[in-house]
Amino acid sequence: MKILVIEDDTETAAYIGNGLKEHGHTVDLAANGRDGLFLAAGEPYDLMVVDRMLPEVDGLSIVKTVRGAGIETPVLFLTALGGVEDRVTGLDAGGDDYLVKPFAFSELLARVNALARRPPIASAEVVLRVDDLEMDLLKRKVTRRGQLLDLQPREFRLLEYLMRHEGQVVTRTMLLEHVWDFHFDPHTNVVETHVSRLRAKVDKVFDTALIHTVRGAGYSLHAPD
Amino acid sequence: MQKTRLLRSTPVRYALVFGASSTLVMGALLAVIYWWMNSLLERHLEEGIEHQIQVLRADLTQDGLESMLGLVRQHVKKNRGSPVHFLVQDRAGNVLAGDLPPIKPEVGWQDITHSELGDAANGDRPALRGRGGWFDENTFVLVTNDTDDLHESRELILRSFGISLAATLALALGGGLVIGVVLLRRVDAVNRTARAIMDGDLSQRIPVVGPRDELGGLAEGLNRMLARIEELMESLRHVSSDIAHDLRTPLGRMRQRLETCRMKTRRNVEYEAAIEAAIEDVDGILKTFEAMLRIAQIEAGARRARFSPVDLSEVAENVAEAFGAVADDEGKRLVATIEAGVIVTGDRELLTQMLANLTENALRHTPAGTRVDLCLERVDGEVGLTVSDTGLGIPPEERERVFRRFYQLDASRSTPGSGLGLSLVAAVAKLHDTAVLLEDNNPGLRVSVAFAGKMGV
Repeated sequence: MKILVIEDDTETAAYIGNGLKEHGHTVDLAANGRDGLFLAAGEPYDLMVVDRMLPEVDGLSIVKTVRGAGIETPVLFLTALGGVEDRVTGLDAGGDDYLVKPFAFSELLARVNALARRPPIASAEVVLRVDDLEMDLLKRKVTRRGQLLDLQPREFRLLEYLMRHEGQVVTRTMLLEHVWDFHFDPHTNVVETHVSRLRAKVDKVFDTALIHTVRGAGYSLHAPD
Repeated sequence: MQKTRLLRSTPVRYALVFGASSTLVMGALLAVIYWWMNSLLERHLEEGIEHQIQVLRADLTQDGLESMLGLVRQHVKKNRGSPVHFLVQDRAGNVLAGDLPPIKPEVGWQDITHSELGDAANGDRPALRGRGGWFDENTFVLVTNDTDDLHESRELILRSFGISLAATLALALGGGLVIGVVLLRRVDAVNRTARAIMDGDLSQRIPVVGPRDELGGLAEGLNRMLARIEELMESLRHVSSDIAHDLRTPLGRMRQRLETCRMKTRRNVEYEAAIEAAIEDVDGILKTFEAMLRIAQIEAGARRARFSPVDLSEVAENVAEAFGAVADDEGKRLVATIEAGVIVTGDRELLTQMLANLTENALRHTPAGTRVDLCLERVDGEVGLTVSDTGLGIPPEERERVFRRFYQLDASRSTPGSGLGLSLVAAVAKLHDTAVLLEDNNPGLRVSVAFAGKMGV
């Protein structure tokens, strides 16, 4: 993937750039808002990682301008610690996701992958399928090998999110945000508890596991290798 | 030094300006009065003389010279010692009647000096004012009035005016100075206190002495403010030392781990584990910072601009559902009693976090086998959100303090949790114009937050 990183702090920029390169992405770095805007408007990118606080042109203005020009490249905002307000304003301005600094690289990578492979909004799938697991979104029914699974509504949402991100790493924070709408980190193991319950229903009675734990990062749902 | 300060003091300057201007105005007023009184006195005197002349002239015309001379003599005899004096003399200068020595006859209004009257001692000072005229070829009549009275009156008026002017000026200046000194002294007291406080002694207060006037009220107001500041500083000091303590512990632990690793470890797996653990420690510290910043931001109140109707029932269901499973796994029960369709105006994200914190808190302080109740209901138009447990509870005297940042009931701080959870709850409640109420659940703790049920369906 071709990714544009607009970040003025050279150390953070290098951290992001090198990490993404290591994972096979092509990265362009811009150290200020003007250069970033210039690149974003001139070249096609698969994804943009934009810091909110930038010299010359700030991140919000960049994204607003880019969106105004009809460029729909997914944008991941980086915001400062404690910036409670930033998430909403960032999403309002046309950002697709946000990440609070400092972050774990695995978190950034997971979000980058999720954003880049986000299915077009138009494609309203009715049935999600991963290996022998099937989810009917209309009838709200889940079956594995034809066998009906009895899921709670929240477990259904959790599984749906995992299935929509098949093969990708999904972090705890992503699950908290998208499944529970929790934009904070609870002290208790909410995600772990629910994932283990889901596993008991989806994986336990079958000989192959679909939900995998990715150490130090999160979870991933995919067919056994 | 003291003199220049006094001159620079506002009340003194006001007093000087007012004193000077009032003296000026009063002086002008008195001058007008003096002029007016003087002319009144003179006119009065002249009118009397005029009258006498008319009477004499009429007598001469009607009854002849002898009758008029008789009238003059009668006047002189009767009014001995009176200020009115007469002179009738012929062309040769012989005095025909009257009580004045002969003088050089002059027609019209005139002042007759003491020397003219043969009194050389008093010289050219006017003694009499009068009017003379030839009644016929050989009869010169002069009627005069003593002006000593007039001069005396004038002097009296002038003296009393002068005295009152001086008194006014003295009162204005003296009063201003006294007020200035008194005010300066009281303001100095405030200044001294301020300086002492700036030097670091926050316990200083402004002495409230003297009358209960504006300055007294000001001093009391400032003292109240100082008390509040001292309280805040105290809690700030507390928080700072608590932050230091809370951050030093994980940092120290991390340091130990890394050092142990450097001393002993030879294998990559162990290095990896040490790095992993260090990252975890750093994450914990970052979490604490995040929580602190979040609370600070909530307290700043900017989020109120984003308030919108929030389905609190949905929020409660969501939280109850999320933590219900956690409670089950820990052998506890989370029982939710949630009235549907309760809508309040607020910040959904923060309300969710508030309720999550309360629920987590209750679960954390409840032993296995007990239950935690989460309840949302509408009572009398108010929305009540309650989380109650049957755990250890909080002693009444500690209840105020648990909302403080980093405050933990367990002084050793060995239990997990940053000690910021309830501070955040309090901040969120305050943002929503409400407060958190801690009560005894007999046994356990009952935490409730009441919202004004604005848009209740």
